[in-house]
Amino acid sequence: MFSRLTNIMIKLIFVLVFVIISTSVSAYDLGPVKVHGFISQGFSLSSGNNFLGESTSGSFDSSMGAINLLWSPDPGVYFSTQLISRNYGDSEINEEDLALDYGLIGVDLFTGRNNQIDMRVGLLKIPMGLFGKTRDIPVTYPGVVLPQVIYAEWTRNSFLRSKGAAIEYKHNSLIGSINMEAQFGEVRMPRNQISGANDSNVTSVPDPKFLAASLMYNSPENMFFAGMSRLLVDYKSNSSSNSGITTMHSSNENLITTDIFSAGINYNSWVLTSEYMRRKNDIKNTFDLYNSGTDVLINSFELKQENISDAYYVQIEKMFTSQISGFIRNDHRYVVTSVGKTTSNYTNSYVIGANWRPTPSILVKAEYHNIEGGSADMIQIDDNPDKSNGYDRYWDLFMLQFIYSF
Amino acid sequence: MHVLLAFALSISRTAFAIDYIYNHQEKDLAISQFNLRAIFTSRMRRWPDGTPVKLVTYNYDHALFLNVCSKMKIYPINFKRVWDMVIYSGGGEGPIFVENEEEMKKVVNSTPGAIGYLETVDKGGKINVLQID
Repeated sequence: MFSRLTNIMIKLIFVLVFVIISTSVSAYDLGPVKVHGFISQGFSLSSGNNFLGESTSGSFDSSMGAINLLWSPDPGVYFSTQLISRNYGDSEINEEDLALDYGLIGVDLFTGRNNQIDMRVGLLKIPMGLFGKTRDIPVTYPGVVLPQVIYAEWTRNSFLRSKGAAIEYKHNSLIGSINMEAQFGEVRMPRNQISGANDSNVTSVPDPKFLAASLMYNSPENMFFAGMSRLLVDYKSNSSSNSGITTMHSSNENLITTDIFSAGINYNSWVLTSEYMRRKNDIKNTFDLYNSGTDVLINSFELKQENISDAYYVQIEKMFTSQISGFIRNDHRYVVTSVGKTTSNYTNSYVIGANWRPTPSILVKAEYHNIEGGSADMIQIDDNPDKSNGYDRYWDLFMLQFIYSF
Repeated sequence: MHVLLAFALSISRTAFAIDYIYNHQEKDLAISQFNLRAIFTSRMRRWPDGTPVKLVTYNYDHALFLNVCSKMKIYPINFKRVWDMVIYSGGGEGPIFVENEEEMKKVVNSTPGAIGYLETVDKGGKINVLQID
């Protein structure tokens, strides 16, 4: 108890010191290098289930700090990187003392008044939906957390980080602007985050390959925006087990296809945003049974499975002043099964929230969720170890977040 | 209530015009309203000759910035989000922020490719004023 309070106090002091020393600073320059960053501290309180730590008792287990650097030695070339320290709940995948979110070299291949082609190589963010490339930055979206039905916190790293190459085309014209992006490479997913990879029989887990493409359109006065993106992730694992008489070689192949359709309207002080996602996982398991002594194939068979989930959210945001906005949102997700909706495959939540920016560097967010289900995206076993027999179907969640950015 | 009223007035008033100033070797530079908007939303990052555009702006609570928001029909919070997306996605530089008009003139004058804005500018003076078609 004492150490927990001490940790909280240290975090609060850390935040306050930063606020006091530089509330008016928007960026630091280290010679030619531009330095930006942010720190955030959240609080969550819930009934029924835990989200981001032990929230049923009140949890401060959602803190982040990041620094990003940009250096442009020539107008057409830039180097960019971000280091992050993140603690979001009790899942191992969301606890990182220090990690590299991205580190890339960008080159402008062509630049005209209304057309631009960029190429980026290195450790890149994966473009997916409206918020895929900025889901790590809380100041870029309304609300404490993004709609979890599409941008679940537990998938943050595996759907954000990659190594590879990207090409982006931007076009401005009187009928609006178009942004097209294609990216390929390998997902930077640690071995222990890949399903089944921790099995002692697993012999190899190649890095997951991916292909991403997105197309976004903005009308000339930014009143209307729409887009679509597709992400293909291909990963497999090979395993082997020996019973003494026979040896079983098996492989597990997954092809995950994620399609997101996005659209929105800016009208005066109102912003309507909606996204729909369909995720399909084609799984193929092959098994080859050998005689251990002779290496003769005894039997071989194959199992195929298809998992599909649908998700959407609809959000209406109102800008009340230049510093205050509020929003309401409905999040929905359904993992398609032959038995219909159950407590473990379904989420429907209503969210109301507010954002207050007292200074350009400080942002305070608050939101309340009324949730039915949630175990398909929000509830993690690491946060709820005593609920392995079943989660509460109806629950509420209140979240608060303080962000300082420069 | 007072805050709401003040913002409503500031966002709707057109009492003062805005001149967009720039630092570029080409005099009498002209761009369209469309391109001006593209510069402010980080979609146009080069001048026609390829020189990088450096946007210089006041902070989010400055009356002139609110006036620009009103003219471009973009809410201050949305500008902030667009710039943050550029900065934090690793895709480029955000704007240079200044506190007042003196600092605006100084930064634009000393930054090649810069574009900023002032309430009124002497058209015959040393400062380049952008023509908006």
